[in-house]
Amino acid sequence: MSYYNPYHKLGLQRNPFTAPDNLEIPPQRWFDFGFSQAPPIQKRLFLQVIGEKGAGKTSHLLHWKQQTGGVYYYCQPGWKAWLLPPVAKIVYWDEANRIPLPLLLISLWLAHSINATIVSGTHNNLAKFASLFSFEIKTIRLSTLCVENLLQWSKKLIESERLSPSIPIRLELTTDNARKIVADSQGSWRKAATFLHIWAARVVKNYIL
Amino acid sequence: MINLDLNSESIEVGSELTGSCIWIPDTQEKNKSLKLTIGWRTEGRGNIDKETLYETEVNPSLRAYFRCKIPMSGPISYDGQLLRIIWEIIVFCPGWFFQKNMVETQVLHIIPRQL
Repeated sequence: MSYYNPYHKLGLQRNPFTAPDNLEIPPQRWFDFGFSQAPPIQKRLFLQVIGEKGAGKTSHLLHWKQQTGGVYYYCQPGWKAWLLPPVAKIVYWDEANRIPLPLLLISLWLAHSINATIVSGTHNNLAKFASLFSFEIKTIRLSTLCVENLLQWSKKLIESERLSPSIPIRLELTTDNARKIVADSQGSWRKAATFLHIWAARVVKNYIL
Repeated sequence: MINLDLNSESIEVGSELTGSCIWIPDTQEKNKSLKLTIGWRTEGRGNIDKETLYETEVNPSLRAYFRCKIPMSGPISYDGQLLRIIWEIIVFCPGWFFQKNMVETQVLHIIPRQL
């Protein structure tokens, strides 16, 4: 008996909610929440993206970096956070809330001297520190997980894994399922994607049996 | 055109997978050669893990024979809700910077040792 990919039965190449190979989201999987436009370079701007874990902060930072270039810095937890964040015409500091205060202030001062744009992904509001160096402050609070967005996003991801234009797709998220997933995900797209992955795997299993 | 022949698509851990591959290229591809690999990879909601156990070259119009022992430790093929473990034979044309231009993929089913 030939053994094959079970997702082919649904007209898909694979589970559409598989975690991406890297954190940069390809255009066919990118969903616009209204913040897709990258910030301007070298405007003495401090743009902070605040959200819960999995809210999409890193995805937005990397999406903008694809448009602007610049430097991306991920601040690691623990003692590894004790590195001076890099400064450039536009710089992306991810997990910026972990940056130790003395290092944050030094890098803000250096960034101020070249009128840099700093884009930070953070869990806490860092505006009071940036304002010490007369940066223009902009804040985006990412809280975009709702039933309507989940339905549209899942549709887009399912379509991106279509096996062939001539083969119909037999996987569609219902509003009831979406409502339950949104309730269980607590604002996290990462958690929602995991629940969707499980849901799709169950659909495949039920379809085969 | 590529033709893959296997002794079985369902193989117990600790057993040998044997088979052959023949590639009849188009006229303009006669100077190229393809690579055939046997290995596994994960797919799902986590970091990707993968291992290639066997690799050989497939020259145009020559039948390439392969023989690969599947480790006793597996892993076995798995289709879970969070993770899949996929064993496959991949025939590809090597490109620049480790890029792979897939030509043919055959999924294998690696199963536990039958008592």
